[in-house]
Amino acid sequence: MILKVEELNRVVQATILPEEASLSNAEAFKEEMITIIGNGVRLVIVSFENVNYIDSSFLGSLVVALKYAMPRNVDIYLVALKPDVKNLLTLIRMDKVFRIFNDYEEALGTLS
Amino acid sequence: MISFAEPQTTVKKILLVEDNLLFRKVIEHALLKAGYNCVLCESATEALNMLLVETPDLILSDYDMPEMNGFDFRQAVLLNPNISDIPFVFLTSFTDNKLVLEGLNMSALDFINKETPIPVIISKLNNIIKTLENEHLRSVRELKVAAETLNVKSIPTHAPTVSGYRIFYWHKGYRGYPGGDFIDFVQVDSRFCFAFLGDIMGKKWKAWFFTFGFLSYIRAAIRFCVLDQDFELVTIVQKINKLIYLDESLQNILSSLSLLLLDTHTGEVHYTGAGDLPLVSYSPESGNTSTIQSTGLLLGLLEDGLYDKQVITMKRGDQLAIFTDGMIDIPSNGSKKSDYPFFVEKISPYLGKPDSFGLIRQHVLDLIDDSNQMDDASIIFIEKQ
Repeated sequence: MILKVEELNRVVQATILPEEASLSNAEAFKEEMITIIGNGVRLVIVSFENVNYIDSSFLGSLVVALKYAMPRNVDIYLVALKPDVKNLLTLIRMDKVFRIFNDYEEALGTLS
Repeated sequence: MISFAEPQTTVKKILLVEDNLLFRKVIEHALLKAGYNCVLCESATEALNMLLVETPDLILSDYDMPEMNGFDFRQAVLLNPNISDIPFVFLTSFTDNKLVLEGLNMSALDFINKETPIPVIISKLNNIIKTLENEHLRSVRELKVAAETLNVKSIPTHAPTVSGYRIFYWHKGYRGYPGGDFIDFVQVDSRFCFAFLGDIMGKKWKAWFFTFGFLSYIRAAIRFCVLDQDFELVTIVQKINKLIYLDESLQNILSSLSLLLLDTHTGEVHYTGAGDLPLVSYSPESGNTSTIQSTGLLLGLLEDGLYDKQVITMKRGDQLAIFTDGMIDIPSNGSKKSDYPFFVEKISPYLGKPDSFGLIRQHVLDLIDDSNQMDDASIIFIEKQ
C-alpha cells in the first residue's frame, strides 16, 4: 500500500506513505488512486506530508489519475507539499491543474 | 549509434529473512565482508513490508519461521508483480528432499543447507548474482543492437550548423539505460531551425519505447506547419498536444517539451514550453542570468494546453539553455531532491565565457555519474555569435 486512506462523506483523504515518490511506487500509486476514484467518491485529497522527493514517473501517475478523475467528476486536491516538491510542481505548472492547499483542514474548508 | 553506457556494477543489496538472531548476525557479517549491502528482517511479515520500499537484488530466506513460513512468504512475493522477479534463495536447515523440491518448484534459484560452510554459501550467492548480471547485460546489448538496426534514435548524433548560432547538446540516460528523454533538431532551410527536447514521464525502457511515437508526432507537426508557412510556435505545440491527447495508445503517457525556433535573419529565438523547466538565459551586456517560464501544460494532459510563446532577441554573446528535470535532481543527505535554483547557480559561473559550454561540460555535466544521477538528463545550449 502506497496510500493510507480515510473516507468520510465521499471525500477521501489519501496520505502517500513513502518519502520517495518515484518509479518504484508510481505504478502502485496509480492503481490505488484509480480504485479510489472508481468507488464513486467526489473528492480525493492527496497528502504529500511524507514526500521529500518526487520524480517524473510519479508525476506521470498523478496526472494519469487526474485524467481518469476528470470525466468522472471527481476532484483531486494536493495538500502538505514540502517546499522542494511544491517548487517542482509549480515550475512545471502542475499548480494549474491541481488545487493545492496547506493541509487537509484548509482543503476541507472549501467544501461547505 | 545510440550512445548509452553499460549499466554500472553497483553494490548489490541482499534481503535476509531469518528469525534466528545469531544466524542472522553471522550471515550479515559474511555478506558485508563479501561486499554486499544487507537488509535484515526477522519475519516474513516484516520482509513483505520492507519490500514495499526496498528493492533488493536478491532475497535470502529461511524456511522455518513462526507465523508465516518461508514457503508462504515465497508465495506472497510471487503474487506481487512488483517484486516477484527478485531472485529468491532458500537458506534453511530443513533438507528433506521433498521440501527442497517444493521450494525449488516455487521458482527459487537455490535451496541452500544452513550446515554449508559460510564461504561456500557466499560463493553460491556470488555465482547467482554474477550469472543474472551477465544475462541482464546480454539482454541490454541485444536490445541496443535491435534499436540500432531499426535506426530509432531519441538523441541525435550531431548538432546542426546554423548560421550565426552555436548549438550544443548533451544527454545522459539514467544509469546508462535509454530512457524517456529526447532531443532533436529540424533544420527547415537556411533561415529557420527548430531545436527541442523533452522528457516522457517514466524511466528506462517503458519511457524509451514511447519517445519514438512522440518524436514522430513532434517532427510531423513541425513539418506540416512549415509546409503551410506557419512558424507560429503556439500553433505547432497545440497541434502536437492535440495529436497526443487524442491518440488512444498514448492515453496514459505524458511528456514535457521545450521548443525553440531559431531565426537567423532576425536573430530572434522563439520559445514555447509544455510542462517544462524554465529556460535559462544570459546576457553579457547586463551580466545577468535570468529564467523564462512558459505557461503551457504537459503534452497530452488537457485538450487545451494553455500554450504561449516568448520571443528572445539574441545579441552577440547571448546564451540560453533548455534542459530536462534529470538535470536538477540531486542526492541530498542520503535521499533525493529536485533543486532548480541550485542547477542554475551551478552553471552560472561559466556563462558568458569564450567556451561556456565546454566549461559547463567539464565542471558540471562530466561530474554527473551513476552515483548521483536520479533520472535521464538532457540539455541544449545555444549561443549567438
